[in-house]
Amino acid sequence: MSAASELAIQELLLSGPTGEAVDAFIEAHDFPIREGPHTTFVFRGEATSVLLGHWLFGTAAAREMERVPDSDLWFLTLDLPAESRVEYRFQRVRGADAEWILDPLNERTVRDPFGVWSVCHGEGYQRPEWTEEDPQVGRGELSVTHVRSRAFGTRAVSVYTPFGFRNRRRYPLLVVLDGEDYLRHAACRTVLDNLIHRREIPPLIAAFVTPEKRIREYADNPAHAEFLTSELVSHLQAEFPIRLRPDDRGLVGAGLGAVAALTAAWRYPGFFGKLLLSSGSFTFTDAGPSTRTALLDPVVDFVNAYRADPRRVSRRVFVSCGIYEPLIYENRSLVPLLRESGMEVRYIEAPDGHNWENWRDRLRVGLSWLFPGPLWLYYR
Amino acid sequence: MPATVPRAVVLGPQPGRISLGPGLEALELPPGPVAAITVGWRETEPVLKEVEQELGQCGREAVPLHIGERVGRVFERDAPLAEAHRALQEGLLAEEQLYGARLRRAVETAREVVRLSVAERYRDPYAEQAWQAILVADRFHVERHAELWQEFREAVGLAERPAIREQREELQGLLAGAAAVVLTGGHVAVIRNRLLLLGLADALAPLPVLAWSAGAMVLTPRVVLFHDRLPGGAARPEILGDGLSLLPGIALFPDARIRLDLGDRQGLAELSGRVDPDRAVLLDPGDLVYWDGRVWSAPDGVRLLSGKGEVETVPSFVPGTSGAEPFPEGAAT
Repeated sequence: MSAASELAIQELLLSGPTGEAVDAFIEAHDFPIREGPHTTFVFRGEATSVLLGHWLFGTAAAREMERVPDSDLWFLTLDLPAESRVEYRFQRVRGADAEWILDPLNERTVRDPFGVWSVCHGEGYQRPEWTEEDPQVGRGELSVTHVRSRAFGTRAVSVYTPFGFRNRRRYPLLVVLDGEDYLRHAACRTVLDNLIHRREIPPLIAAFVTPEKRIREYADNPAHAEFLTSELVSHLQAEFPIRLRPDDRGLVGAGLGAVAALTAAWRYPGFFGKLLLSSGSFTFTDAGPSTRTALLDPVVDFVNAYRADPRRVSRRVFVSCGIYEPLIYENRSLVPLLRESGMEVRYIEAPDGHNWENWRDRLRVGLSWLFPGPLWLYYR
Repeated sequence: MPATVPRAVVLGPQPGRISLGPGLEALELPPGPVAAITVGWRETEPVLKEVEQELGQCGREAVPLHIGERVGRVFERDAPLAEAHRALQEGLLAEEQLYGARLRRAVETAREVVRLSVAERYRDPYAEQAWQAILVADRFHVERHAELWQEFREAVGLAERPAIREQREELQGLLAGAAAVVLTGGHVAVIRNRLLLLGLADALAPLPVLAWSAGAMVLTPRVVLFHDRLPGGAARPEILGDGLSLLPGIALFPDARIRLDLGDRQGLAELSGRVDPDRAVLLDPGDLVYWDGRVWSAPDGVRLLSGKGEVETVPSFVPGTSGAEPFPEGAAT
């Protein structure tokens, strides 16, 4: 597509659209319409105005759509970088009423802890095949173990054991914060099955830990750090054949979970040899005040302290963030400090937002870098 | 078919169902069962079953050597040996990390020197020094790796330990009664480790061999690990260690189209130089390469890496010679 004037929606506008022409237009296209880098979002229905609500940081969070004259068709064209993923909803305003709705013309949706969103895939984006179940791949088992914690009572933790698990072998351990969300929204069990099958990571045991009061537990809470490093891992080592070296121990978190992971590592340096931090909420105020909620003050204090005194808390750290996230600035700022501290750091950015599918899509490169599998020793 | 009956056939990778027919046919074996070494695969993988079926279809009985299970029994029976072997693995891992660190710097330096925009007369002496540093790192690692194994053998008196002797004698008996041996692909370090532990090189040497990928790599003089397309990024090729040298004059690069960046001329040239005087042979699914005891050949030509990092196809070559025998005029390459 060489120019926006050649877009399908522009052709419709130039044709002086009738009701029949709009019907034919709807019939002829998949929505949103992808034409090279241009993506046209379309809504059809009676409304006073329609807004596109999305998570594209750096642009207005909700953008007004344009009405095709004398019709009930609304549109907005955005330029999205290749391989982008954007989650969105429409806000339909009718008089004094406004409601957020899914895109009725787009069947592609995603569910996260906050509800369901429509999803737009930019040119070139495809859901990675290693995130989907493969009947040829042996499935690991999930079981539940109950861990007693001084601060949090008894916690149910889902434990993944790989296909072909043997009690006489010893396995690396991956502790995954927001564990149920990683399983439900980031296909983590399937991802582990597939990456182990492909030998991109070694067979490992993963503990999926879910908080009860997320902000309280994850915002630099010493009791949570103690739970992870002492109570949880001791319990798992007693129950499962887990390797004891820090290098065989990884901690995974996203958003505030990434903060919880880094703060636990900060409080117990060297305990986790590997960290995977996705879109961490690493808010700081040493360069100016933050607009975030006061509930996150402990996070701000921690990040300010880390920025003042960056320390080596692990051996390898994988950091990722979406370029459409407000947190991109905080994550970019953190990476040089992590490197300065002497840790091996790998940082990648993705054309995506603050969401579980972004974190799912980064698992392969992150896990295979932190826990390289025997792939390069296998010659089929 | 080759002009002379080959002593060994190296197959390309077997990504789908294993196919042994053409290789077995080329070997023109006398009657008898075929020994099978499948230790490179996990117990949960059905490779042995496929090998048995495939041999059966070719009218051959398979004799699985069950190397993995045998080593398991050795360690159960001889706990001090198991402990010493575990310590050896720790030593080898440490050696690998140290070699990796040294090699990384050496390769980075060599690449940086070549990239600098300075006149060749100034650059070349440094390029040569940088190149030698890579070769020295490889050579030192291979020596250290062999020393660690030798220290282990001597410390435990490996050859004389009853648990080892018993397994070795049984295996020698099975191999002596076999018309040939098949070595499958799989985990190259596991295959090599188990064959070295049981000291099987001498028992394998007289037998016609049908091998592919990892199973063939361990029979060459030097095992090179490589993968330019790992999900976490390309890895520098590293020498795992010496192989059993039953297939002379070659280093094998299976799944070359998938695992090698064939557009990276400098990387390929380095690879070729690092295995010199052996020739870097590229293999992909469907390939067959014959060894007749003097010459390597292949029906569609052997694909080799040249010193300039180019892929060249030759009908045959003699190990230890830099030049390959040219294709006759008009032959397809």
